[in-house]
Amino acid sequence: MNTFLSRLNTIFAFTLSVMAALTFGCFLSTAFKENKTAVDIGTTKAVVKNVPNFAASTRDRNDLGQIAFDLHTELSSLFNWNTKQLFLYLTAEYETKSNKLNQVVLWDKIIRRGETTKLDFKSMNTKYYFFDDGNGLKGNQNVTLTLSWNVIPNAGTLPRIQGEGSYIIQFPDEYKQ
Amino acid sequence: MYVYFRYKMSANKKNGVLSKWSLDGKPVKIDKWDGSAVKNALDDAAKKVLVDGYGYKENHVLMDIRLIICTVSCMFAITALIYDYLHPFPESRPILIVCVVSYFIMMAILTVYTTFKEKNIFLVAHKKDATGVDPDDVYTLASSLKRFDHMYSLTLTFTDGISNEMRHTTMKKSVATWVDENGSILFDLYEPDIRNLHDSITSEKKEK
Amino acid sequence: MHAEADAKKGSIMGLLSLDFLNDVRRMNKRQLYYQVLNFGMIVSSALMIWKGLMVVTGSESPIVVVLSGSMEPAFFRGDLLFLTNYQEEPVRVGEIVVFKIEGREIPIVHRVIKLHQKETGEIKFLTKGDNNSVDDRGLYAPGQLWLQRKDVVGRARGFVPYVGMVTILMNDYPKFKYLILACLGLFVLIHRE
Repeated sequence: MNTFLSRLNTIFAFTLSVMAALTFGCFLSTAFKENKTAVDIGTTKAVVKNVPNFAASTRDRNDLGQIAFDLHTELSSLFNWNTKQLFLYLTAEYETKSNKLNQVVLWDKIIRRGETTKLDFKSMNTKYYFFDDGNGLKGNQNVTLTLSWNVIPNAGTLPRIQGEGSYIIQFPDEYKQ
Repeated sequence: MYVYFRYKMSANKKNGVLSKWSLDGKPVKIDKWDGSAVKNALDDAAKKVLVDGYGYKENHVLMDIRLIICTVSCMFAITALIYDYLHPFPESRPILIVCVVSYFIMMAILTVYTTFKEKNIFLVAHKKDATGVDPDDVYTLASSLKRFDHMYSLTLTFTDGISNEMRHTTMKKSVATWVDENGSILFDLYEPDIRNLHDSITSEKKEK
Repeated sequence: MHAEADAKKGSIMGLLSLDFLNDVRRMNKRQLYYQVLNFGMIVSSALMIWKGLMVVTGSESPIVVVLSGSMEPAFFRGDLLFLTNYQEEPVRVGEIVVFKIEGREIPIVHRVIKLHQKETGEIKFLTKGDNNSVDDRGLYAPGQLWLQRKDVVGRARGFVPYVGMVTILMNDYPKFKYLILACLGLFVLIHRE
């Protein structure tokens, strides 16, 4: 402890350990939060078309669902001192003949700390195309819409939580021209 | 009487690269602010008195066991590295588990060994029985120098070969007694202290 | 006069160049071997911790450094991600996965936005970076439309900011990296504990 360098080294090592301990404490303090809250979802429009899947640049004609949704929720309870941002995503989940499970994200949104946490959307259009991997949307009576969020902390785990509340879309039996 | 000079002379006889490399006989000079360097230098000097001065035979078993533990641990690491390279991950999993678990067990063994068996012992020396019939007398030296402290404590333990009786004697002095301002070890001041330590434990024996 | 000064300088240089090795020069062969072992143990410990993490997480690279800004504002360049790759846990939409593309050296960290799973459990999925406006089909190998389970290196489970900056600095300045590693190695080798 007699030279400048050895003192600098000690201070540096100590700073690092204190920061590591604080970060770990920060993670522990929020590690057991449930991060759940209620969500209201509805749709105002649900049609299905049969068009070439331009998103995947194949010539196959796939089912393309077109919906408009209502979304109402209040997410302020998900924010605490160890929340950097929320990644919200609206998922359509359904079963078809060819696939046991299909999950398609239709819309997403990033809410950073300090931004408004109250969501109130009416007749929102989807952000991504709702293409099925075949022709399983026409007449599908059980397409479940859910809102989930991925909590991004300042440091810690990255939980994915599904909101409490869902909506079942029933697609018509005819293609819209 | 003093080993220091004898050693200086023997070192001069050596020639070639080895004598240039070897520091035998040259006064030991260290960074006096570096606690571990001071401790090492004093340990070495104490060892020299017992081994060269009294002609006791150093027993390396204590150190050798540590070397073996470390070597085996390194072998586990090397095995894991090579095997994982030859058979990339998911395939190498069973071998990796074996190596990783064994490595950490070896580390635990090493920790237990250094704290409970080696303690601070840096020398185990045997004094051969003159007749060669009875078991050897054993001297061990252990030392400690706390961080940022100047008090060096040296413990000499004597185990009688015949009666298996053990005796300790400890000397605790400031390192400034034997290290000068420049960081040179003053061997001719240190040696008498070690000899006193040794003689006190031996004379105790004679009194009985 | 000059000659004498030069001689003095020479001897000082000689002392300087070997002084730092004095500790080593006083060692016997056991101690020398121990120095080498000590160095080996430091390297081994790091290696075994890494391999241990591999075994525990099931991922061939359990810790990755974020190298691009495509997941901003969640992850920035230099953040550290902890991955797991348990085969029995299904991949689901919304998850952040690290995957490898044929012909690309560096794995990509992006989010799953579309997934189709067959009766047999076989999956195909599509990813997108939060900060990108289009999905990743442009990043995949030519003609590749979907990722499969085998492309996944790991799935993001934990996050620590900034720590990976050290790695990025080291990769950006390789000479600096080798210099630091050499210095540390030399220090461990010649310094007696």
